[in-house]
Amino acid sequence: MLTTTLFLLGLGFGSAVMLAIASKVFYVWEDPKVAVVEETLLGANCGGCGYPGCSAAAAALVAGKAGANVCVAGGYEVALKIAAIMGQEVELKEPEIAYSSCRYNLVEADTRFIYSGVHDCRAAALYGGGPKECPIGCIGMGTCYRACPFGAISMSDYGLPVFDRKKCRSCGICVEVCPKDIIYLSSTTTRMTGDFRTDECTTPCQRACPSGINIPAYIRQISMGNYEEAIRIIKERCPLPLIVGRICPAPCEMDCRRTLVDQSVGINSLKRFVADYEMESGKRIYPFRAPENDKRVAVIGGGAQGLSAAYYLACLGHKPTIFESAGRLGGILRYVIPESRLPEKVVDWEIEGVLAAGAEAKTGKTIGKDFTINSLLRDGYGAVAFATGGIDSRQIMHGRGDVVQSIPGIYTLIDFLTVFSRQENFRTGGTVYIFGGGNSTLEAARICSGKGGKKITIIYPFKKQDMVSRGIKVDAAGREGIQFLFETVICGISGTGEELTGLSLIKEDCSVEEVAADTLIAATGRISDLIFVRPGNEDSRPDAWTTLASYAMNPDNRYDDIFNLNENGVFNDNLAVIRSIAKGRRMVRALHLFLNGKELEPQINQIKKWMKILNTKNIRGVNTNKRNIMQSNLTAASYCDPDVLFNSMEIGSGFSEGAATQEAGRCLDCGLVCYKKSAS
Amino acid sequence: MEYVVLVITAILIKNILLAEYLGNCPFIGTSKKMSTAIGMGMAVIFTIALAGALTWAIQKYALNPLNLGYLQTIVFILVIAALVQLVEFFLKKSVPPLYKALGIFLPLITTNCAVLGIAVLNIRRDYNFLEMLVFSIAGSTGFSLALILMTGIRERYEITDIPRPLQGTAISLITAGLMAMAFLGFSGVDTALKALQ
Repeated sequence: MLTTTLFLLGLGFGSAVMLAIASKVFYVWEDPKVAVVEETLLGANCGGCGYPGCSAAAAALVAGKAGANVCVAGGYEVALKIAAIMGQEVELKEPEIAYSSCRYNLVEADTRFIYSGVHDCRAAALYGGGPKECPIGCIGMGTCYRACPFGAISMSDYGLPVFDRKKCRSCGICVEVCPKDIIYLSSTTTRMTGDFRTDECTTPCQRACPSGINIPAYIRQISMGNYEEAIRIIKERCPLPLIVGRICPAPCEMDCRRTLVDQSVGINSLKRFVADYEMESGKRIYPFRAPENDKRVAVIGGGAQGLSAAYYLACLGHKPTIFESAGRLGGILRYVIPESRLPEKVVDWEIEGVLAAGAEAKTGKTIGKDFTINSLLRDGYGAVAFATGGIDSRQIMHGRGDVVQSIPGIYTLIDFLTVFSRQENFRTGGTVYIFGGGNSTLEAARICSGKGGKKITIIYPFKKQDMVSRGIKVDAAGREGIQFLFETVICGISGTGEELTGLSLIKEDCSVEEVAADTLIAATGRISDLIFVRPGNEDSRPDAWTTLASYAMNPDNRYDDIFNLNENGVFNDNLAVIRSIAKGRRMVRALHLFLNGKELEPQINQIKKWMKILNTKNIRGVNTNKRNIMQSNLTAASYCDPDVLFNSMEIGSGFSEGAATQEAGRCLDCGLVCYKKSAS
Repeated sequence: MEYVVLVITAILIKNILLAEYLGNCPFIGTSKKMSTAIGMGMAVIFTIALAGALTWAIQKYALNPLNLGYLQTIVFILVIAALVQLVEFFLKKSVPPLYKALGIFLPLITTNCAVLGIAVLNIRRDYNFLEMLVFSIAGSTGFSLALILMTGIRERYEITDIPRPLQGTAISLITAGLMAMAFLGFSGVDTALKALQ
């Protein structure tokens, strides 16, 4: 008995002493904050932050490797609590809500087979990608619904996931589990600055729209009577719906799938209807306003492109200032398009809307005369964006003889030939580059050699044979001392103060070469879409500036050069207001990334114009239903008076509410291959 | 050859989980996810090897000389619990990567009956030190093997239509039973191996 007691006592005591010593010897200091922070985190271990679980995130937070906003799932409230513990300030992250664009369930969409196996999308997708005909169609078996740790996904009655914007914590688990890769996180910013994706269900009209307005979505909202929501959707991609609704040539309507049955849906007239609704209500509707920051951007040009760029910059919280050389903002919209098509009060209302969004405007100021790129950058503008858009050459704007040079050392070919080269004391720099390949390019090269040019090089984007076959005497010019660079494009311009110093060229083997240059003559009608910024830390010259690769720059297309001959795979021009708006909107992507100190990268999975996208050429089961025609304001009297006809009245009167609802009901609410069939 | 038979017997024929029915709670508890199961398996092998050696020594050099054999169970539990705690301290300080891999499983094993079971079996079968070590490692390897096999099956249950009343632990116990029956097929292998000698 005694032995037993003593033995057990001894053993217990021995163990206790040993453990006590061990806990001292092997003591590891742990920051008590880690435990406190971990308690604050949600504990869902969703991994949305990029760390393996909440405890790892807490450790990273305390170690200073992650910011207080690391927990995407917890959002602002959790970030505030953590910041209080850590003594930090919080930077608000815009919520990115999970989103799937598929709208047709397994009953209504075309299917290839009936699947009756394990009720899980991942299992169903193993059989040739699932039962749906459409490669990006939702299988609808709720894998995402079961995976969501926050209960933000519910399966609707028609078998497609519905994402609850309030509950979604942007953790990205549904994105990961979806075997069809059709769920992605989307924020208003990404929709404003991005383009349609290949893993998104897009319709022919959406893809035809140069600016990529989500057409079926806004028409659906109109048919349900949610006009404000419709405006919000339009304004994510087009800030001037009142103007576009009147003068857009509507390429979307040409591609409308309803043309396979009868006539296209009046897409643009519907846009005008909701835009008119907004103007009549007097209440301005904005899609999204980010918290303001103090990053200033100078937007050169107050036309459609400049207004669009300024609008989106303002919506993303930056402070844009529009510099317009004319007396009033609006460019072609105000000065060229007749009153009968676009009344001035409409233009005024839209411009007021852009200014009310947070843009500033300085009119009667011309770049090159009243200020320069360098002076703007010196004044604290983070970037200078050229949105000089559709008005060709400086001459049209200012008249002959009053042409100013907007970028140091750079001339458009037409300005050079007709104005600058004729000035008596005009001198080019020693090293001249000329971008182009026509006879007038050669002419300009010869003029340069008489005006101080020592080394003259012509840069041509295509092959030598292309130039020769157009009757241009390349070899003869070569004997005169003019050098040629074939299959080369310019991808960057840099300078110091008021002087051009260098060009970046993409050579035929896709390598990038920096060359010194004093003068650049570009055989383009306009200089547009250039973004000037101060270079990074590696350049120590005080007044250095350089161009930012614009949105269109894409490594897989060499010909997407800085003069934007190509954009998204099509020739770049300003033929329609919506194209200028699209260019302005796309510039903002590069600007926004740059101002936030992020890498400029092309958007992933972006749909390009040349891509073959699944489409359907046959429509069955849709009853004919003729298009509504907008009432005309014309009367017999107005026909007789050209003054009235062209100057004082607008011809179209817009849809009535009834006509708009009816027209919106004609929309087939297409998907990639799906469409709404008439009730039989 | 003797050791080969010992190893095969411990892993396949007299599997601690499927034939001895020891350590069933972690078997059901940690077999939902492969990464957890592997971590648990490794932690069990590590702990059983250590605990087996220590309890064997205590039995041989303390309990037997003092004639306190009847205290075996209580002493072993105490020793194992203290040992696991000590190992946890040690790993945390000295081998952080191993602590990260096994850390959260160690407390789970403190009062695991598989650990105690093997410690007791070592004594009952009167193994010498080497036999004890081989048996401890082989027995715990058998535990890990069964655990990992079970996890492979249970991961498939995630996407399988299981009748509602059977979902969860019920189907796991049925599976464990079927696995035990399958392992029964190994019985006799040891006799055959011995006959080969």
